[in-house]
Amino acid sequence: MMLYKYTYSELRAGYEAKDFTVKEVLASYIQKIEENQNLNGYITLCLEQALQEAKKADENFAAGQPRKLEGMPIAVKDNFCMKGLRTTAASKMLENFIPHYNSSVIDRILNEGVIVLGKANMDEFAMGSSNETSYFGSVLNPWGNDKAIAPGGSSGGSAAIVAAGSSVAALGTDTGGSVRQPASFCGITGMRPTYGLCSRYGIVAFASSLDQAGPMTRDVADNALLLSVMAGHDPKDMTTLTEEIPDYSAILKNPISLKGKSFAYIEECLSASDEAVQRNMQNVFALLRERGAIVDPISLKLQKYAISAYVLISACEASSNLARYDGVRYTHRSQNADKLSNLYNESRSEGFGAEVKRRLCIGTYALSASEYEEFYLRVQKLRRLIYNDFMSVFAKYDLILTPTSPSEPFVLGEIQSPCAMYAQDHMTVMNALVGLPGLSIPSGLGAQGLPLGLQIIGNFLSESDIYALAHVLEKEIAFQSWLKK
Amino acid sequence: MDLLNTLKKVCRTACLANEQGKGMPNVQEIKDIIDMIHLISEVEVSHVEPMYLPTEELLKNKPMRDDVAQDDVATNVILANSPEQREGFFVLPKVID
Repeated sequence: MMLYKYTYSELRAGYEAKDFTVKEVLASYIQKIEENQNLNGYITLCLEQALQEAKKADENFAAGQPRKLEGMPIAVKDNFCMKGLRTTAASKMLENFIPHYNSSVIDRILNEGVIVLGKANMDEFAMGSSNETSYFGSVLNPWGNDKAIAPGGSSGGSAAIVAAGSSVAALGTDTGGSVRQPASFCGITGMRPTYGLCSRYGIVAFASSLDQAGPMTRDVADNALLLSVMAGHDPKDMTTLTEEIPDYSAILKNPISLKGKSFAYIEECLSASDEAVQRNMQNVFALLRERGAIVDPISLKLQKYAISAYVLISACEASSNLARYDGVRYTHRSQNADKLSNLYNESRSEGFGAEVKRRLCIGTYALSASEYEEFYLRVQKLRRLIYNDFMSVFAKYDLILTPTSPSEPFVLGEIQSPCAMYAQDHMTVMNALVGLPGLSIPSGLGAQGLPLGLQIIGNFLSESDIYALAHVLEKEIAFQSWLKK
Repeated sequence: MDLLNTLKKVCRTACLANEQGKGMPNVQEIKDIIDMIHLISEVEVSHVEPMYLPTEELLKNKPMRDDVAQDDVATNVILANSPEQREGFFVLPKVID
């Protein structure tokens, strides 16, 4: 039995029917991880611990007391702190960092029975859209076959692992598209929830007003289930929301009717996309209209400033957050420093990669006394205008649809200019800037036979509506995953 | 504006090496990024309130927890990841010759 091909819902049914054990499922994953080593998806594995957890999970099933995610193998992006397990954020700076505590999201999922297989590769400090900035090397997209195709980023390792059968699910983080774009590139499902739905406590900080944890899975049902467990108020993160979290997977039991539902698509996003992406989106619109939904074009004039605003805000926040890496307490320390003042500069210069340094420079520059008003203050005002635009759209429409990425996945090394790489996040930064949720589901294949993604953006706390639509579309589109193709 | 000198100054402020060939970012790439972020100056924002946290409305009137220090991590745990330590302290290069 190729148990690694199952979704968690399928595994769960098998566990309960006693068709197979958690231990057997884990053995299947361990073999697959071995076979997939060339993808470079994991930075650190913890399989011995996982085997112990599998034994416990089998006991819980035998006792009739399985928890919500009992026996769910999962990969964790390497920016979630896990007690006793190396957490690097894919940086030389944290190459040997072993946290003494779990991030709150990790505590939540461990309490419900997940089995962590290891820590997933990513762009350094989550800064990138191709996984090429990782200190531990690039990740390969399993769809590439003989070509070195980018898995997307920054949660590229998480996406490639789930797509290739090296885990049934993964945790990612999304600052400007880092869950959704790699999910799209690897043909899986990835959710960026409403800002504040999941705790950021214990996640290596990049840009605090944007960072959000999100689930990455092979289908919508698993995604909804995992988010139901990840989400919730945390006194350790005062930006988490206190609203009650619905059981998102329960909502999926009764598929919604699309009749009378109203969806908007952003013209600026569609026109900025490749022909194959545009065609794919038009197919989705036609499908929705056939089912009685209204699909209208809208114009968001500020869309053209979204990348600039995102790069600016995230760089400013990064320059402040990454000031903690000083070579003194828990990070890489240069051996070439004879004085304290040199220690900071040398350790940071050796420990950070080129993309991180670029962003630190941009952030430091934009926050300097002479530039602050021109950049930082101005962009926060622009943020409110973008927020107002979204609110006026949601006064009229239920959800917004965009491609997740303007093009098919690209070849590793193909994009050299930093600005061209930032433009890869064209579709995903706008809602991230204002804290709105967005889900990417696979929507077909492009001209090169590589996956395309559809993004569904909703109003604050509209995850249930997003999942409900995604669930219907998933069935209609019937995308063949890499594992099942 | 002499961008190279500005970049060197910025690197110093950010505690990064500020010499070309020693890991200082490429001046042209930095210029391209600054030009890109400068696009936002086209938008009229003079009478707009800044928005630092997008969920400010959702978080309005939410109770804050008490600001109490938690002293529950032992010194040896804090020091465990330190590159160099001695007698419960971080060891650093000398400050005074």
